[in-house]
Amino acid sequence: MLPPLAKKHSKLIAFIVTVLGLGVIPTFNQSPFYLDLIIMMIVYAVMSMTFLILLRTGLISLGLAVFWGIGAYASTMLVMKLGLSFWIGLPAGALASGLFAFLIGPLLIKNAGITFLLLNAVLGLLFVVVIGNISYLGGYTGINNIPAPDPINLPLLPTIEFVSKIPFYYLALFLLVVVAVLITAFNACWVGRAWTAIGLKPRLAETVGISVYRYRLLSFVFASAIGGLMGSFYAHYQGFIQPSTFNMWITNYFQLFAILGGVEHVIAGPLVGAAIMRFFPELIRYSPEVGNIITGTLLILLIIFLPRGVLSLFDKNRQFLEGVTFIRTWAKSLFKSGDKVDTS
Amino acid sequence: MALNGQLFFNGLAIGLVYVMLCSGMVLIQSVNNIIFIAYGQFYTIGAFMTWVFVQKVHLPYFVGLLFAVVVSFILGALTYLLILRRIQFTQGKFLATLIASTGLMLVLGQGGLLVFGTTPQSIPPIFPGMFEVLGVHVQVDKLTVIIMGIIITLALFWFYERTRIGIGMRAIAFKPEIASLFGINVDMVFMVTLGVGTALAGVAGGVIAPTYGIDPMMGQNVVWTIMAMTMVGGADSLLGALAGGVIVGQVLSFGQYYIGGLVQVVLFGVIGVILYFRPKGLLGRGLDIGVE
Repeated sequence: MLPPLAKKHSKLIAFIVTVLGLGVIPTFNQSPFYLDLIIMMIVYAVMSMTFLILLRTGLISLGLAVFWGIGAYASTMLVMKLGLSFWIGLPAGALASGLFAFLIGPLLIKNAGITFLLLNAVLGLLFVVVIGNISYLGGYTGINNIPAPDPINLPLLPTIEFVSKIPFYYLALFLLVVVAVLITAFNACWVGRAWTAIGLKPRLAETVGISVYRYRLLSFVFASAIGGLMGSFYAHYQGFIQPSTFNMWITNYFQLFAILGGVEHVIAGPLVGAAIMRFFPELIRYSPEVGNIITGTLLILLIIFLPRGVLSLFDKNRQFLEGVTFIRTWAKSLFKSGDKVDTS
Repeated sequence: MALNGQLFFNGLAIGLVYVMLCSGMVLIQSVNNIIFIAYGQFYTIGAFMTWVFVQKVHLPYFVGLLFAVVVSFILGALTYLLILRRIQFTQGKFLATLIASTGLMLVLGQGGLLVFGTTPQSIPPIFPGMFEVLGVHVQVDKLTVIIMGIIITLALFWFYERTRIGIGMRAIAFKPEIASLFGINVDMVFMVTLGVGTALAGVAGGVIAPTYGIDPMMGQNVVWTIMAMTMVGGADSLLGALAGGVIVGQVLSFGQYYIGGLVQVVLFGVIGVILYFRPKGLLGRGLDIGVE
């Protein structure tokens, strides 16, 4: 078995191994196709993490893409209209998203639950049509030729030029690490404990003196700022943006990645879910006409047999083999009537 | 006057299609208490099955429409039996059904493209021709849409208010556990609800096929708008769906003419304002999705 220290920090070790593993990929595979796949996987995974940050406080959001889009548009506008550097646009995108969330949050969070969900959905629907009607922001056709980030000089390294996909790859990996550290830091301190308490029982949390409204607003602003950060990166990586990218379906996909991986694992869950959903269609790309059918079937089967996500197979209190027998009991119940099945 | 009358007439036709779509969504949302994203695909399937039965099998239009509705009903009931029944009774069912219906949406969407092809289609008008009343050009096809919409809505209200299954649906929408205690077969009612809901989507698709034309992406494009409309009227109120559909049809018809593309901004903005002040919708009791 593992030594106790390794067991205690198993999540940290797994994360470091994953990041290092992703970090060495460009040394032996430089095909732009695979690098693009992994970069977008990281962007999507980080966006799903923002969904989990909100879910932790009991808020189910259908408007994640809005804050993604605001970051993208804010950063693009700063770089293209004001001529600022990307390295100012990146934090400015996060700031713009966070500020917007801070301004609109009091309206949305006042009544949590279904109200928050619906108002977010309306926000998501509004975003596309509002941006589409503003010709200054490019309308429905969007903005083309967004410049790549400026070259940067780091000590001990040659000048990094953003011409190929490899610098973007490392930038995405760097952002992933930053976001993961931020989320872990928030979750480890008193803020995270308050968030968990609110997610479990909001009224009880209110009784013991946690300001539900303030902590929910904090989590909303934090999640939105991360969304803005990734939006800025996405805009400058793709080189073009259009409002229909930030529609409701992409929000739906972000939720899907998170739930597929397992909502209890804030960082690993979205990564695993996004990896499955990004790479599985590639495995079956030889039959593109039935690809979506297989992906959809896989989703349905996964949610029926592993309702708590793929990572629930590796839970501490359930060994891997037990997980397999769990699947077998589920499979047996498939042929019985729809009784209430105990999932705990 | 004649112009406004024309706009009103066009808005009424498209509004009654929205009423049918919203009613099915309301049934599924209130009774099964889930958000069913794959709903839009059943709209597409209804439209394309009608097209297949009319254009390929050469059945009369109304017989083809009936068959298409039956196919939609069977597909919806199968969805419940094969998929939703497994997760309908678990604890985190809101998120689980969201994922399952997304998967179903992918399967049905891609399957529809495989079976029906990727090109937009149309059915030749059943009742060509038009007549003029007070300067309004009344196309007989759109009049047919309106009449069928009214008949189907009335039938649905009768079904929901008067029949045993309708009473069971209302009881389950109110309190599922207590309804089950009183001897209502919850499993069966859930199945019928999903079937009736998807059949309504199918009939909406079949009804618009001769007048407006059909294309394979129409279900996906409209599903979030339908959801927003049902929320305004009340996620569990058929009367709300009726009001929401009719009003949105009029707003779209008049707004498209007078203010152009901005109409969607105004529409969603007004929906947001209404939801902010009446989170449960204008006429509904609101959904319980298990979070507070």
